[in-house]
Amino acid sequence: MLSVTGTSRKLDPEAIAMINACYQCGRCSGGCPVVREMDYSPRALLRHLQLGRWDQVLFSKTIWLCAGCYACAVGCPRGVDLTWLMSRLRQVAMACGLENLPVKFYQTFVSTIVQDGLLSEPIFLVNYARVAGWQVLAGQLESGWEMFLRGKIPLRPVRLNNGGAFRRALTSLLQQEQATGQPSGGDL
Amino acid sequence: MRYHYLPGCSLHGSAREYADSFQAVSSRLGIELLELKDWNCCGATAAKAITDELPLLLAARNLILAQEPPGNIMVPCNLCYNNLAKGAHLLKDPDLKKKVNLLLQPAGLKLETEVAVRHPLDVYCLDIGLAEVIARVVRPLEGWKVISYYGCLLTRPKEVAIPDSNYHPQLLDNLVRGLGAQPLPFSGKTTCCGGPLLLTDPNVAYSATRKLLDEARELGADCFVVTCPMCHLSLDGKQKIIEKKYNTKYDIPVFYFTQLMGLALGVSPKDLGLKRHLVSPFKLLGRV
Repeated sequence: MLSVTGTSRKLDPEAIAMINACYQCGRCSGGCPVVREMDYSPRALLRHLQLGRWDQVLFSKTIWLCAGCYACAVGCPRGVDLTWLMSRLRQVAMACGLENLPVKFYQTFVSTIVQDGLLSEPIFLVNYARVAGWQVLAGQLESGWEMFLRGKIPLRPVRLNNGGAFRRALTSLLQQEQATGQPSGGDL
Repeated sequence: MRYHYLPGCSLHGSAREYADSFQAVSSRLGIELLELKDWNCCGATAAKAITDELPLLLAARNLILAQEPPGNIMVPCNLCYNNLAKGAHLLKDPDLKKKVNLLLQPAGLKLETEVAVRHPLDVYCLDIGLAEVIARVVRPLEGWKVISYYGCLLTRPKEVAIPDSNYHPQLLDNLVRGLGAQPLPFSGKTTCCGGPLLLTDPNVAYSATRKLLDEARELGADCFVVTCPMCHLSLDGKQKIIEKKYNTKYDIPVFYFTQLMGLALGVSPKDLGLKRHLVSPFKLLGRV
C-alpha cells in the first residue's frame, strides 16, 4: 500500500490568491449539501485559512466531508474554487501524515487503480476492509447482498491488458510527489 | 453516428442496468457505440485527493485511446464524465499537455488531438435532437409524475457542464416531457446526493440523499429519473436503509433516463434491466 510522508504545509500561489480573495459572504455555506454535518462551514473554514489556523483546518471534519459537488465554487462571486481547495487541503493533510478513514479509502483506491488500471468494486471493498477494518463493510452488507442477488456485483478481477508501462508512469509520478512534498509557495 | 464509449468501473457492475439500457437506446437511435479498448479508471474522487497530476494522467490515457476516429467519447457515468471532461479542458493548455506527454512517454502514449467528451443526455438531446427522439416515442409515459434529477457533476463546474444552467437546468425535464411524462418542479435538481461519501461517511451521505427523497415525496412524485450510477445507488440502492434510519417510508422507484427513454421508445422492459433495482419500479409499468 502507499505511504505518504512529508510535512510541508505550504500552498501554491493560486490557492493563496483565492483564499485572500474571499470576502466571507457565506454563499458557499448556503449551497453546501452537507454543511449541517460539518464542524466548520465552508465559509468558516476559509476564514481559518485566512488567519493561518492550520490545526483547525487540517483536523476539521469539513475537508473530509466535502462531496465535491461544486455548488460553492460555481456560486462564489470571487472566483474561489473551494472544491479544488478542499482537494488540495486533503493532499496537504495526507502529506502531513494525517490518517483517518477517508485517507485509507483514498490511498487504497489509488493503490488499486495504479496496480490494476481499473477497479473491480467488490475486490476494492475487500482491500479497503483489510486496511480500514471490516466494520467499514457493515453498512454495505444489506444493500450489497441485494445487489449481488440482482447480478450487479461481478466477482471477476479486472486488469488492464496493456497496463505495465502506464503503471510504471503512475508509480513514478507518485514517487516524485512524495520526494518533493507539496509545491512551494508562500506561507499564509 | 459513431461514438467511443467509456463505461467506467461501475457500468459493468453496480450500474449494469444503465449499461444495458444505454446500449439499447443508443442502438434504437442509430448510434454505433465503440467501447474504448483497454480503458482505465477515471480516478473517481480518490485520485485528486493524492495529487493534482494523477487524475490528469488517468484522463490523458483514456483521451489518447479515444483520439482514433471518430475522435469523441460518450461517458454515461457522471463522475467519469466530469473527470474526463475536466482533464480534456485542462490539457488544452499546451504547457500542461507537454508536461503530461513527457510523463507518459515511457508508456508510449501521446496526446495529440482534442477529443470531444460527451454525456449521453447531451448527445441524445442535441446531436440526435429532442425532436427526433420524440418522433420515435411509441408508448408515451402519460400521467407519470417524474422528478428530473441531474445531480451535480453533470452541471458543474462550468467548463465541463452540459450546455444548460448550472443550478436550474431544463434539458432532462424537456426530455421527460417529450416522452409524454410530467416533470415536476424540483428545487434539488442539482443538489448533490452525497454519493461520493457513501464509503467514507455513509451517514452524511444519507443525510444528503434523504432531503431529495423528502422533497420528492412531498411533491407526490411517481419516480425519479437520474443520469448517474452514484445517484442511482444513493436514491435506489440505499433507499431502504434511509427509510430504516429515519423511520420513514418512500417507496419511490428510480429510473436511469435511458430506461425511461427505452420504455417510451418501445424497448422491451427486460432489455432495460428493470429487475435489477432495489426499489421495484413495476407498479408504474402497468401504466405504460
